Amino acid sequence: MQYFDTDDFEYEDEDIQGEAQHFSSVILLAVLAAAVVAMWALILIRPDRSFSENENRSLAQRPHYALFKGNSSEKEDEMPSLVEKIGDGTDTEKTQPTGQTNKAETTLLQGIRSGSLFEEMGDWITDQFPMRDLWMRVSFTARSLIGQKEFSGVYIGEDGYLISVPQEPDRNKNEKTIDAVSRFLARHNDIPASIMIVPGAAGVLTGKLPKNAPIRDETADIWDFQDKLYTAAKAAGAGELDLIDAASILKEHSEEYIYYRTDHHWTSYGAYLAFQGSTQALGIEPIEYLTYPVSDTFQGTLASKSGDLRSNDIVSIYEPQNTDVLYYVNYPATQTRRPSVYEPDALAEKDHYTVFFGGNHSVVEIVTTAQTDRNLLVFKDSYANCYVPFLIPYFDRIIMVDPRYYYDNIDLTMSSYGITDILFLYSADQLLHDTALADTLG
Amino acid sequence: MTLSSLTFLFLFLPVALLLYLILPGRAKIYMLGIISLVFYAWGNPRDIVLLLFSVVFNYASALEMDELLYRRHWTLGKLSMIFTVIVNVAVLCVYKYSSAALPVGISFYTFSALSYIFDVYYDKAPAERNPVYVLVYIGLFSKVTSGPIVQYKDLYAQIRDHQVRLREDFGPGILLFLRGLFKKVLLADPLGLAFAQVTAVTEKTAGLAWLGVCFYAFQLYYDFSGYSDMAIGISRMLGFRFADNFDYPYTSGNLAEFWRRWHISLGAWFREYVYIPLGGNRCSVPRQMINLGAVWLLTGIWHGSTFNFVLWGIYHGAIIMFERFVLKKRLDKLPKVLRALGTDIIVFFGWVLFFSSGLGSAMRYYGQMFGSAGLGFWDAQASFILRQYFVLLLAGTAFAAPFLHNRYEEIMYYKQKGGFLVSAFLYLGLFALCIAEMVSSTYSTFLYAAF
Repeated sequence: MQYFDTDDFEYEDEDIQGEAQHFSSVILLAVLAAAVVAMWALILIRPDRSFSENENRSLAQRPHYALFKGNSSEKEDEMPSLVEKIGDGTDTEKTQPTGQTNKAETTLLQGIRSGSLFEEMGDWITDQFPMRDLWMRVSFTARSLIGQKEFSGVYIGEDGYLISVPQEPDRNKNEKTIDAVSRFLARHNDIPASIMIVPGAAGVLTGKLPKNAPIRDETADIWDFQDKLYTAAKAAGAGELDLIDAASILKEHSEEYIYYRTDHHWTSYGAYLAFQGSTQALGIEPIEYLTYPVSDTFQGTLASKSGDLRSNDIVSIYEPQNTDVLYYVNYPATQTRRPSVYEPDALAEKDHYTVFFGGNHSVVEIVTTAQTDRNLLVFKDSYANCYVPFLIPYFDRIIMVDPRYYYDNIDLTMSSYGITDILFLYSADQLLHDTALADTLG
Repeated sequence: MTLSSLTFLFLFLPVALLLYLILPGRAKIYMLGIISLVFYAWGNPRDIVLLLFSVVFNYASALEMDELLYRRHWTLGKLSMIFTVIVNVAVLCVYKYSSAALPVGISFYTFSALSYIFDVYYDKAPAERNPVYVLVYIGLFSKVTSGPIVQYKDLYAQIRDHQVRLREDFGPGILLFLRGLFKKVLLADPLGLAFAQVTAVTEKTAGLAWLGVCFYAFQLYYDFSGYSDMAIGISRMLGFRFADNFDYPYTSGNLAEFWRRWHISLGAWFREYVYIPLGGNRCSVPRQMINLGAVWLLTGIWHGSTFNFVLWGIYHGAIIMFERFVLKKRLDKLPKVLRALGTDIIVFFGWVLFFSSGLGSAMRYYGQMFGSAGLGFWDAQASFILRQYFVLLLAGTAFAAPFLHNRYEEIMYYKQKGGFLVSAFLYLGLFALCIAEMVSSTYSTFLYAAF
């Protein structure tokens, strides 16, 4: 303590701290030391979090290493203390293992040699860092306070809208898709087909974008793709092909709630509008619907991606009126039948959008009592999940194929279900950047 | 492991400091040797072989060379020195010019090792008989990955006769370390994000291209000077005093001054071991130009293996020669602000070579700085980016001069009663913000399953 009662103030020499600066660093040091201790206490006392809902991924867990070969059972649950680690890594290399029973478990020494111990320690500390989500919010808040508007490819728009920034389409992948679709349609040129490519919010909700935010014209990309597809399909000898202009339909309602604020999907209302606009192409008569909100606490993928957790979304479902068509949903992969397209259990999970069909499946069969002698095949991504329910009263069977998870022969599927109508229903974000559809169609 | 990671801050550094503090006397230095090896092995266990080779080889070579010189075998001693230097440089070049990943810090620790050899050869410092001391000099964990390149003659006494002066060293060390952390995490990293947004735009207006250069210039400065401050701060906590590595370089009045303030330890190294041995400026003008040319060519090459860096070195060398032999003191009458602005434009202009992946992309960028995209000077895109990062740019500019820091210390520690308390909490607040940034940078959303 003799440091504190000296009176030799050193104003001149920068290298020596004055009294005030010294006090300042003593306080700082004390608090920092306490913070380190507290951080470790929290990490070690609390059980590891296994999953981060916001990030939708598993978190790294406490690394387990046996101290030596053979005595792993004793040491299994003991965190290798730092002193041991440093000491063992360098000093006790020659220590012989005592037991024989090597359970193929990694020892501390092996972990150090391969570097996996250090790596896992690092991942563990960062993933289990106390109040991880809170720190994330602090960072987001600080950055948005100084004016940052783009976070990990997501714009922070007006009225709480988070808007995914569209990317340039991949020309090579697009050519593959166009080629595969054309040849597929030519093979089945007796079956009428429709295609609807739904733009993301960026191209539609232009009023919600941050001021001056540069945005790629996704609608132009969609039209360009559709034109090329149409020309190629006709040249290949395809039959009837309708292009449904979802972009124009949605743009007429750009002030309404047609996209989720916090998720990259369209809302059920957006899908409903698109459905209204596509009845002609599909040759069906629209009917009345009642709408029910099923959740008002939805925070979707864009909220997770950007870290902006300030808004919530409402998820609604549409119930057809004046129809006596009954149906059930069959999931062939798991051989389960469900009485409804809606899965209420999803509302207890993070992603409320999976209330529609419980998410994506390779194949979904909807069997109805419509008795229209029409069987529809839908090639789709998740945008279709809230759209397809509108089609139920009009088809005997609706087969939804998600090419990302589908590995069967599509032509066999076509004939075994007696398909009479084909619909391609995709978000531009998926179709223009991916070759899953081309792979499925062969 | 980087000094600005959660693992370092919350695991490695506290343990290292604790071990250093509790051990008595000489044991501290031995512990630092062990800690430094663990630090280096963390994340790249294979490369440690190379570091150990450098330590052992230079340790043995210096002893041998010293022995030869002691016995007055001047030629053999010189040959031994030359051989050692060639081996060091060859290892560095093999890694720099092969496709293999560059071992962390090899450019820095090889230069430290060379400083050891030269200082022993020129009798500026004695050869060391304790290999652990050589290990600590070459591989001290705070400086092994990114410098500063402390010269052996400035450090050997601090290792051999290690003084622990907690009262004098620990406080300033931790404050400097934290300031470095703030520079790196709160300024450099976000500025890097801003720069990435500019380069993501393929067709830039001239204004946007210049804005991008400014973002990069400040990112580089705060990244490197921040990291240096962290390294110097930690070393200070451990009882080693290094000279500053950056001294507000963007306030320099000419390019020569800039290089006395930017990456000072590297400039000093080249002056000490290349420029002065070649004759420095105590020789004819043509000879001086050759000497300068050699130094700048080497400076360029040291920074990277592509031709861009060579060109960047030549660019700086040429302007420094122009300043010295043509301009002389003619511009010294101009106000300092104007001269600094001019110097910064020259330096910023050079950074394009530094950040471009090849000569072609550098030329394209230069073109866009003068409107080759044909989009005029400014557009909505540039506004959008500037608006997002304006505060950061302003802060970057403000902290590039010493004024704010000096005023801050004056007020908090001398003028304002209780200022030290405010200062402590301000540091803590900024530290919390750093944690937020470090945690969120590890925040990675796995989205595929969500589509």
